[in-house]
This record gives sequence, C-alpha cells and structure tokens, in this order.
Amino acid sequence: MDEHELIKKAIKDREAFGKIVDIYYKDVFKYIYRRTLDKEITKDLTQETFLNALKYFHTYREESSILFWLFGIATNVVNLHYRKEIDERKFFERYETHSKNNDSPDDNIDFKFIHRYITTLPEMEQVVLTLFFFENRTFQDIALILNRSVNSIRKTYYRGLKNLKRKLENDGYKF
Amino acid sequence: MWREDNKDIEKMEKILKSIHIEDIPSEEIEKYKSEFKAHLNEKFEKVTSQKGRIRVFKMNFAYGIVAVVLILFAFSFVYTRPYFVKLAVAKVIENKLGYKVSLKDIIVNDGVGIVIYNLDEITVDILNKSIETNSPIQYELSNEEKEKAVEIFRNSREAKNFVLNPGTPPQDVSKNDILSVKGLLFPKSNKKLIEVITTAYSAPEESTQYHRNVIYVKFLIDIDRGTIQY
Repeated sequence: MDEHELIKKAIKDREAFGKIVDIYYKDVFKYIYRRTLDKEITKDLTQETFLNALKYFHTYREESSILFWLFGIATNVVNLHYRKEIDERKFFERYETHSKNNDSPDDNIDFKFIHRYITTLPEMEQVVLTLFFFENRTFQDIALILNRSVNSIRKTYYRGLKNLKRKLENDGYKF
Repeated sequence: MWREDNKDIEKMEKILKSIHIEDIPSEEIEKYKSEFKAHLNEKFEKVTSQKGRIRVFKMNFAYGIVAVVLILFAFSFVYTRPYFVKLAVAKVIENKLGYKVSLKDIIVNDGVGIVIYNLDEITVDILNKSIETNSPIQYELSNEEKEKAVEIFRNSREAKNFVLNPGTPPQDVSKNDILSVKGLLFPKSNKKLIEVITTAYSAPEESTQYHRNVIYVKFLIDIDRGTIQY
C-alpha cells in the first residue's frame, strides 16, 4: 500500500492510522524535541500533532510526502505552544536566567546552549534553522514542509543566522 | 561589508553544523509511541465522530446561509420591483403622452402603474406598453370627509398664497366661501380626491386699473395624504 492509499484509509480505519503512527512517530517526535528540548512537552505535542493530522486528513495534498505534511502540522503545533508560553511569560524568564559569560560561543557549545538563542528568534527563522541544521533537511524539503518558495526559505535562513549572531554578540560573546 | 557579513554567516553555519545533538534512545520513543497508541484507541472514535458532526454542522450552516441569501434576495426584489415599475410607467407616459410625472404620484398595483393627471386616471401596463385613460366617478361624500377636505384646504399653503397666473401677485383664498365640495373616485386605483370650489379675484384689467372680477377656483384635495393635488 503506498502513502496516499494509506492516508485515504486512515481517515476511517484505526488500524491504518496506527500504521501511520508506527512509521512516522519517531521522526515527528525527534523534530519536536529539537525545537522544545523537553521530553514531556515533546510527548504531548507529538500526540497533538497526530490527533490534528487525524482531524485534518482532508487537507493533505499528494504533492508532498506524509512526513513533510506531518512536519508542517508539528511546526504549527510547536509555534502555538511557544506563543502560549510567551503569553504566560515563562519563556522570557527562562531566557533571562541562563548564565552569561564572555567565552567564544564555539567553546563548549552544546545544543541546549544554542537552542536557548534559537527560541528567541522569530517563529519562521526558528523553524528553518532547526529543520536545516538539526533535521538535516534541504531548502527544497523545507519549502515543501512549510508550503513556501525555496527563495523565501533561503532568505529566512540567512536572516535567521544574522539574528542569531547578533543575539549572541549582544550577550557578550565574541566571534 | 558584504564580505564581512558572509564571513559571519559562514562562521555561524560552522558553529551550528558542529553541534552534536544527543539522541533520545529509541526504546524511550517507542515507549511514548505505545502510550500514545493506547490513548489513540479511546480517542480515534471520538475524533472521527466529531469530524462527522463538524461536517454535518458545516453543511447545515452552508444551507442556512444559502436560504438566508435567497430570502434576502426575494425581499430585495419585493422592495425594488415597484420602483422599477414606476420608472417604466413614467417613461411610457412621457413617450406616449408627453407628460412628465413624478414617481411619487404613481401607484403600482399588480405590476400595473396608475397615475392621476389632469383629473384623468392613466393606467399603464408596462408589459404590453398599453395606456388606458379613465374619468373619475362622482361619489357621495361623508360629512367627516367634507370637513377634513375643507380643513386641509383652509390650512394649505397653496390656498394662502394662491397665484392665478404666473407673474400675478399671490392672494389668500383660504378664508373665502366654499361653493361646492365633490367626491371623485378613480375606478382603477380606488383613489379618492375631493374637489373644492372656491372664489378668487382675477387680475385687474389694464384699462380699468381697479376693476377685478370674481372667478371660481378648483382645488383637488387628497385626504389620505392631507395635501392639495394639482
């Protein structure tokens, strides 16, 4: 059974939907984890992503793969989560409490460190940088996932890198 | 500047590419997946039936909108149709009889336009563009109608500033004697007008500057509107 037939079946058939969960759960979970760095939140958001997929199967277009379509839904779910978090001001508190020092950022750099900065970028820049560097997706893949042109993804990518560098410099890191 | 920017970007790219991401053990993800699948058994029916309900609701909503639009369309037609009939009637009268009638004086009845002009009732069928002219029938007035007609006449601006011919000074005829009050019924429109005859003075003749004749003047009163109709 190919992907598209599976989707058609999954709208009504629990077994077929279970198959989709079996195939894609891991990839979706990893992607969300790279954006949230919190296993419990990732677990909830992955669940929400699949339930949203079940609700909106009729919006699936055959030109992209199921994985990319699920990544698109996951992106929206994570963005919504961050917006709520920003509303509750938890996010800023977390950002402000991280230790400041004047080391070069490439000394002892880890994902948790850079993730704090990435999450302060505009939504679209966060998504593009995460998909490009931590999901190893190409610009073409990202364009398909986000339903945008490759050119606009490229522009967002460079803008994101510049903003990230500026934020690191603002906190006293030298390049 | 551009080269500097480029260097910075390359540096940022290098930093980001060098980051090692700690992988979550597959067993852990499998555990989460199993939990979700167990949870899904309960949720699946709920989500799919909710989807069905939403679809039914959307369909009903769409039908509702269509019904409302149709009703509004029908109502707009009911209100706008008489206006278009009046326009057509005015056009036919102007073309065939050479009169210009005001739209507010045209009565629309079953798609036929009726207008009272010069004591004639002109009926225009706009579908076959035919014109029929009828004279009014005299009817017996009630006392109440008579009193109302006289009251309208006495209080009217037209009677207080009566101008016999263009260029002559206005005169007040509202307090003059009333010679007769007659009821006129127009058969097609069932419109009633009341004819009030009173006196006025003619303009003085040029040779005898002070000599003025008493003449009869006819006013047509529309008691439904409370106005004088010419």
